[in-house]
Amino acid sequence: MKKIIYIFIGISALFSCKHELELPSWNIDLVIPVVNSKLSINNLIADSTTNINQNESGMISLIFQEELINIHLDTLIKIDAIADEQTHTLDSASFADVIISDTATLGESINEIPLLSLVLPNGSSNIIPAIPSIASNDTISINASEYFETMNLYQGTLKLDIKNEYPTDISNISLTLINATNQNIIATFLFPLIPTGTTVSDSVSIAGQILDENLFAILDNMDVNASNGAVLIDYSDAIITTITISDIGITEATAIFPEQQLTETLKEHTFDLGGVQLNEVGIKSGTVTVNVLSTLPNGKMIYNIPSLKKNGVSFSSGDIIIPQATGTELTTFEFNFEGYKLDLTGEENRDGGDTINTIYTESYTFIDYTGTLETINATDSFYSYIEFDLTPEYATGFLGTDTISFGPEIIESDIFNFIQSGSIDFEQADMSINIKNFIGADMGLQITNLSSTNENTEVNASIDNNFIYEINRASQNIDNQINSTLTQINFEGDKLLEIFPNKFITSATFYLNPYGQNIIEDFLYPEFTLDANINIEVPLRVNANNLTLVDTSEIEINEISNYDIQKVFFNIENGFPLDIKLKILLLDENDIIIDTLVQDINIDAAQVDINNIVVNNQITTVEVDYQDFTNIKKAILISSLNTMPNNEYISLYSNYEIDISISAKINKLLSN
Amino acid sequence: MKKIILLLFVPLSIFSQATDNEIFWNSNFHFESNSINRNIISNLSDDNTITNQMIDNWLNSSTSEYNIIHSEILNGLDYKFFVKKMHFGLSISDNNILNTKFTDDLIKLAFKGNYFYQDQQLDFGGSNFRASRFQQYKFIFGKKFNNYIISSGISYLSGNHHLSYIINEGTLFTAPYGSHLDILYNMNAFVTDTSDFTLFANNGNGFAFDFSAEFKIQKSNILFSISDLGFINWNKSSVILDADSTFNFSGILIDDIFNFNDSILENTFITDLPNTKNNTFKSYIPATVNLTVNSTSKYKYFKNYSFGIIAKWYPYMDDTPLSFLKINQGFKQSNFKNLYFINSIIKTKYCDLIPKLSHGGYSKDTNLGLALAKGKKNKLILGTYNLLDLINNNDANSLSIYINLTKHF
Repeated sequence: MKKIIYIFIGISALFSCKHELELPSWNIDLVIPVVNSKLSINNLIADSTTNINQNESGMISLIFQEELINIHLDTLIKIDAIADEQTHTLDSASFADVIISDTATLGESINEIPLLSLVLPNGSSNIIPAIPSIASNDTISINASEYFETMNLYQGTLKLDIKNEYPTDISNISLTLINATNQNIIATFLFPLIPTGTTVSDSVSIAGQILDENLFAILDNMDVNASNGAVLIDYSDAIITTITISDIGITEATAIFPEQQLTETLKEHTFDLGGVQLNEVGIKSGTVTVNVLSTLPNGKMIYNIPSLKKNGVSFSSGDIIIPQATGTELTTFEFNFEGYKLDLTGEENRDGGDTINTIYTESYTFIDYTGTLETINATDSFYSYIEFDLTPEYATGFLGTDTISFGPEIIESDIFNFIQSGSIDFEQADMSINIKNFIGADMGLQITNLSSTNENTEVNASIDNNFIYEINRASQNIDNQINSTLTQINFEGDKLLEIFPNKFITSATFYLNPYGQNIIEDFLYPEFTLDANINIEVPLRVNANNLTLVDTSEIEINEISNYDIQKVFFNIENGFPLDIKLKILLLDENDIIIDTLVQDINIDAAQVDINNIVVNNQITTVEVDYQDFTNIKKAILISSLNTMPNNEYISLYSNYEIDISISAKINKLLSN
Repeated sequence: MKKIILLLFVPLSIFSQATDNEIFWNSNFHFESNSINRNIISNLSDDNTITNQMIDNWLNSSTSEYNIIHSEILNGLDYKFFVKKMHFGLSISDNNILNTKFTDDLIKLAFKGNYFYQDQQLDFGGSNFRASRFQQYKFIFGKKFNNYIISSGISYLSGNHHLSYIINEGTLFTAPYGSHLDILYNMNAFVTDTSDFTLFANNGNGFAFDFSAEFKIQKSNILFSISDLGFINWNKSSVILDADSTFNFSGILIDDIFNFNDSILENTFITDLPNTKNNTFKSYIPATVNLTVNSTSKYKYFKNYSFGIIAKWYPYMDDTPLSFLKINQGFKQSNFKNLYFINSIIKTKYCDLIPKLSHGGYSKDTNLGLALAKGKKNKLILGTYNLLDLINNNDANSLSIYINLTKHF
């Protein structure tokens, strides 16, 4: 039993001895894909200015389009002029007629003679005896302060009206009008006889006279003739004297001036537009500025342009209040005419019919009612002129004939920047100049130069530099929408492109209305003139011979610490019928070449059939030992292409692709 | 309280009537493989670094479609007592089971990587890995009838840890230079709660059943038994993975390869991982089906001999209801080829020799086992199922040692 126990203990001890378990480790080699990408023509030609087109069979054409010519014709029809310059002085100011009345009744006359009122009582019927000199040197005060203080006249007429309402004739009336202040005689009047119930008048010129506000009318003499029998004695019967001063022309006056129009100018103005003959302009933007300088008080102006309408309503400035100038600075009033139409055919219903480039304007100047006494003299004046600054939206009429030279214009091109050397023969390259004409006028285009150039060579386009291409005029529909015309000038461009140009040089001459005025009215919308661009369509049917392309790519690779990358494989499945010799240079952040990743690696062309169409892709794998790529910031890919088969034109189709995948061999240490 | 006392009193009352008692200690270490041998294992443990040469040696030594490794470490204590014609037993054991089957291609992939197998498809479908640790508490009852003995047992299983990977289908094709990978997989994985790795953590509970019937026919005894037919239900903290996918990986597709930024590599590797979820799952423990015939003869070395057949029932997972198909599935998925054996007891002066010749099992090999037994009433048995492997040194691909200590009182 003891032996059994000892054996048991021994075996237990054997099992209980815990051997320290050391976990094994091992390295495994994995190869895994990392990234993949498919490159088609779209990727290889990543240029925002180049489009890719394909026909029904999928053959690729590159389409490059660039604006060729841009012409501006808005200056042709711009209206920028000064019109309606006018000056008005005081002599054009007017003054209203001054009318002053005086009434002398029968009763007043009878009462002046003692006891005569007893003889001839009011309401009686008596015979009036002859009374000589019933008035002798009687002075009648006339107060014109309501109208003026003083008036210095260069013209004027003073008219005296005497109305005899006495029941008997009066005779030998002599009246003298004098200034109260200086007793100057203004006028004298003599009326031998004024029968009863009649009115007599006489007028004299008072030009050159100075009138005071206070005048005396001295009745030198008035006889009363005897009545013809008994008459009714009515003391209210009177002799009414009316003094009227009219046709007043003032050289200087201190007066309360009434509202009055000083000037009225109705006239046409013709703009000088060279050979352009316009009958209507739509205004896109612009202003008419009224510039005024007035020394007259309470000046006012109204400026109308019936030729300028918006929604059928003519322009009127309304009352422009002109402040009295204290210096020589003009006051300006600006009016915006955006959206207006300007009729340039002149005044409506003018003699001789419609004209061109002409507007009709109406200008009125006023003095407003002064309200208080104001002094105006001959030096006071009213000066104004109008400035037109209009940018047309459109113009109709005849645009004239003109020759517009364009260029030499250099168009920079970077579509071939990625080609370093080698040659390519395009089987075909179609170039065209497409001109879209929005101008309603006949035009001609002469391409005086079209060439492509690089640093070493210049090639001219096969185009006749003397030929003038006819460009049809545009038209407008009933809604004023422009129907443009398209003119296309085609020529072969393969020779221009095969030098891999970095510039296109062009110059041209445009002829506006080369055949003169057409029976169809011209029109021009300055925003839509002429679009001319050069179009290049290159079917990718080429023969490339060591065509060397260079592309620089940005690379950012951080340290990958989790994995021990030993090799990198570039698996390239070439679906293009192009042999590619590849070289990749690695650069650091200072653009210094620090390594060559691959050198002269051949990537075989895809296999083609008898028609040179790809039937089988070719796979090439490039193996590269992995290194520390953290310093690499750029890679330069230099690829030399040769079409296969050699010396034959090969078409490139949209379904051709290069499938690039990058895989890596990774060694990983695993522990249990 | 009374009930508890009554419950305790019942076995004690039975125990008090016991005429024969037996305590049985069993320690069993069993390692069996049809491919990996001692040389490979010693290289692994000695050098601490697995080289490609070692792997190539392993692959060259593999002769069958699948590599099987089975390992069991079992320590148990049984107590049995006999009352009249009945016997009762209690046992407690600590079980550690590892069972795995995998293809050569999985070895290549796991230990060498796919770099050396470009333009080839590696197939690791049908591979699986199962590892369980649990304690088993068993109660046995048996009764002897005239010519036969029937016994049955019921066990409570306390599951500690379980890990299983079942790859139903799995292939990996590596294109030349790794330009693309074609991956197909249909797999299940079950892992118990990983937050606690203590030896006796309770992450699941289960039951197992035993049944045996022994018949005496003339001079022979025929024993049929099914033991450890059971399962463990693991708790809902377990991680379950169910993945079935096919995809081709060619790397990250980028638009412009000429402007390369490695920030795209942050998502280079496969990120489309299958989804896992937390849930309960059921796993089975290996059940043993045994049909043995014990007999006697006149021949000196075969006076007492036995022969029989042992099968294992050990399905991968609880994916189908119990049916004949499930039963068949369990036998196939046990990775155990029916073991045919014959053994004899040769009595010598100093001890009994128990040689055993068998064919089948996990190694699917012919093995010669030998046990030494000493004692009658109190017996110590020390044995191995693979004597030749024990002395074969480098080419041995099985190793087993067991100790049984029995004391009668």
